[in-house]
Amino acid sequence: MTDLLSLLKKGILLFDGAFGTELLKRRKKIELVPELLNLTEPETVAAIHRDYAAAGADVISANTFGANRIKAGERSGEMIAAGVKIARESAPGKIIALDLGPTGRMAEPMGSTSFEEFYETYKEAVIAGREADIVILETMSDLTETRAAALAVRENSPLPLVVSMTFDENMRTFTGTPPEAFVYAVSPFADVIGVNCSLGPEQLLPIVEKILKISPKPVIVQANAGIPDKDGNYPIAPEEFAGYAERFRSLGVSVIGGCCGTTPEHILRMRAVLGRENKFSSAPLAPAVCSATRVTPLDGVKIIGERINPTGKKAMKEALRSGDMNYITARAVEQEEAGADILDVNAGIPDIDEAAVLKKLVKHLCSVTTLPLQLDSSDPKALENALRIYPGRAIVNSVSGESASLERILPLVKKYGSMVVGLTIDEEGIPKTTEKRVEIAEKIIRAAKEYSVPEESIIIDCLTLTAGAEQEQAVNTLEAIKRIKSKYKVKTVLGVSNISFGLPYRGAVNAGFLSAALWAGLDMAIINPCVPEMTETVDVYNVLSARDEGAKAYTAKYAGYTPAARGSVAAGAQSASPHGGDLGYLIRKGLGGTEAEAEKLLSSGTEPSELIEKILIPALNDVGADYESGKAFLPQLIASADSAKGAFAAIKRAMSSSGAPAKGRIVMATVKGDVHDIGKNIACTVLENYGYEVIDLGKNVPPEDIVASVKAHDVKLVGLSALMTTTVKNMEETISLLKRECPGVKTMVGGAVLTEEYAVKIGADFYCPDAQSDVRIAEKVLGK
Amino acid sequence: MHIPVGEVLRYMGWRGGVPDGAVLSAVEKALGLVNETATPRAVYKVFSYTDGKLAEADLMLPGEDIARHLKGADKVVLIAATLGIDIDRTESTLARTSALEALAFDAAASAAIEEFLDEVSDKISADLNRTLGARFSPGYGDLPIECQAPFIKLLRADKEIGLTLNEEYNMIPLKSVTALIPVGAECRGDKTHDCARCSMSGCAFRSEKK
Repeated sequence: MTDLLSLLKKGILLFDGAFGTELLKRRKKIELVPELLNLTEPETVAAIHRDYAAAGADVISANTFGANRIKAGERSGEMIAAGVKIARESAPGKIIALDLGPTGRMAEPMGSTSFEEFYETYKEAVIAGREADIVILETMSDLTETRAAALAVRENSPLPLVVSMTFDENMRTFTGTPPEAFVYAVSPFADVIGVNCSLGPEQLLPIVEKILKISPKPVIVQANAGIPDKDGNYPIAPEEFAGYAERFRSLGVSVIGGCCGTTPEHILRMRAVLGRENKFSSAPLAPAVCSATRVTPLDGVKIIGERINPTGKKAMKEALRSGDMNYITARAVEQEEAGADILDVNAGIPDIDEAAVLKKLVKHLCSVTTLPLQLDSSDPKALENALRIYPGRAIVNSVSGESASLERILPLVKKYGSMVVGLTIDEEGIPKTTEKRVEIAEKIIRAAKEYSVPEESIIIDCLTLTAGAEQEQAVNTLEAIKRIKSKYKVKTVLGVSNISFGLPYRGAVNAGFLSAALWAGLDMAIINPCVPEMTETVDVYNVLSARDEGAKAYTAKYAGYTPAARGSVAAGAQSASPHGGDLGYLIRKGLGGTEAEAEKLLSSGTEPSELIEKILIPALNDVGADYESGKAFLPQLIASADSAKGAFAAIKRAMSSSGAPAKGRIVMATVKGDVHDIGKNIACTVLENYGYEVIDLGKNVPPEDIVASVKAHDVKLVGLSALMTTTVKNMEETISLLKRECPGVKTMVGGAVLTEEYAVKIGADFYCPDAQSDVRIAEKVLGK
Repeated sequence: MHIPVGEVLRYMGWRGGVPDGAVLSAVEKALGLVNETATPRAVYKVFSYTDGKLAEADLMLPGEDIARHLKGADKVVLIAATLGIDIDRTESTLARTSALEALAFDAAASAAIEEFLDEVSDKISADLNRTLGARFSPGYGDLPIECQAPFIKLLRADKEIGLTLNEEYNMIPLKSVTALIPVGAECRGDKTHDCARCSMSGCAFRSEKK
């Protein structure tokens, strides 16, 4: 077994250079699947390896970069095994790397490939290449794919793993991941991490510096030989390239090689300057969390939004049970807008499959917010499911001081490199003294160390008890925070709102306790950020503790601000319009201000149903009729629909208090494999305005999910969209599954390539040629 | 990038006359947002074109329409371009709050990718010192959509510009294009698209419909 780490102690390790560039130079032909040459022209492949070995590379990368099943097809395994064998035979004595690149697919939610599909693809590749000495995943650009690949290597191979991603001049990957997020999310699985491709060494320098600054693992750099000119020639000559190699070494890089445009000559020159001391020094990961695109270092006070939690919230419980993702989206977005830094995610309801729901919830949240997540569960299975697919570094909430909890949770924290909340509670229950809290915190810190989880990854929760019942405990909690902070490098967190349980005017108590806790050294507060007093308390603390230098942030946020009058219900930000009273006019013209107008009418006694039937629908019908006759165009129809949405929001509020039912439910989805959903989104808006309850399942929706939703909600009409001929076949499959599983349900279909005839052919009941036709169909099926 | 407003309105389904204030202000916002969000990237290779093949890759281009389009060309530019994945993210964020803004943004991004391709084509034309013909993409006429797979592989477009393809041949990011462009004396001039030649009879933008 190759002991990469002890090799690195001896000095810098040198990889080989570009394979593709050499291949093109020698054969003058562009291959669709260059790895096929491992089977058809092994001598050509061997010759390139021999030249790199002769130039002095320590590591030879097999010709397996694109040989995954997705890219190379059925024979990928054969190509990989042959590639490793050729490398081994042509470069005796060298370290042979199984070289794996990206699949060329985009991960969910922007793409349609799941974590599991990536995992299986790389698993197969790793098993096929098991005769190699090490594995290198390189030129990766999607964090989900990179993590899936790295886990597939870790769980199916004993070989050391090198992972490198590729960044552009904006210091992000193509999917928007910054180098720091890569380090936080992938270093737990890798032995060496770093960068390759896309840029020349000069442009890579700042990216490499960022990685070196925080990486707990040795770092690799494989730059291109500069940025090619219009004829495809790479500008940086071997001598100059070798100069950069020395610069990288002096910064602390441990493994160096070449990417596109580098040649055996480049490697030869690097050999001459290398073979020197490895200057890398390791430090644990700093306290920070991240999503795939946003890194949040835990410096200063951080707000953790508490709203995605069903405990004591009927609507959230209902949303989790029925899978109503729109409700959850709204809670996530409003917390982000209110200033949350991190979102707590909890799916713990007794009668649901928490492990499945938490995973689904995390996946969904990744599509609607860039905020890093805190996974709130005591079920190790639920936590692992979520940690596995989460493309970032999450916080596990929580482990307690109970031995059983430590044994079950800490291995997950170690494996996935997450941060963890340590609850100061143990077998004896909630501690009553400061001392006991500190003692349990110390037990957690010690146990974590045994699992190689450093203090920097721990956040201690000293527990908020109810002041109404155990008044003296508030001070104990604050004192424990002080003591723990003075002794350890851990962060601290509190769920704040519990303090006021049972007391009147809870907001004042919560804000007061939060302020005191911050002054005691609290780093993170789990609160409802949509309550202004709570975020204001944090903002004020930042000014008074001089963290908000010159009160710049405070001034920027509050200049000219007057708090809303107490007790008033802020009903949307739209103000009344100069066309006061004429709601129909506003809708016909596609103007704003309809929410305030509708509020006015409702509060002056107009019934919600009257408002819909006498004002909203006639206005929408007028525009709809103009659209259908060609007098108005799609943008006007949509503008009116948007405008009516404001009024409808007000009506919905009034109806939910009066309990009046919606007209009927419609499930809408863009079918599996299709990611073009703008037409479907427009149809949803239009239908909602006519009073139908729309369950929007989103895009790339598998047939089974659509069937499940129809069954769960007792739905009579399903709208499906597909843009391309290639996805209409999935539409057809969906329809036939619906017919089988849910007899009686009607389907309507729309999309660019569909025609009336085509719709009939695939078994749909109705065809929607435009944005208004779905309303006619809904009226026919569900009634007006 | 200068995105032509007329094109944005056309993609939105506007068919003449002066647009309303609400529509115009949505378009204006969309133009700014697309310019802010887009990270336009392109990759291309110039191939010799002989016997219906991209010679250096030994790749036969299937169908009669592409053969007709490339007739007379001695070289063909194979190009892939994308506005980047942040366009997709922004569009789905907009869709949650305003269908009109999402529609305007989508249309502005569609106009932007075409504009970007025009710019890149002009540059290629200048580099080659040759006139280029009109772009022809998989899905036009009888050139199968499935051709996107080999095109993307030949250009290594995933690695070079972050352009990916799913199993159903959807390109992701959304606003992406692959195309063949004829190079040659007989291909000069005609850059306009001819709807009559296209088999998509239900297309919302088909010009004969009017």
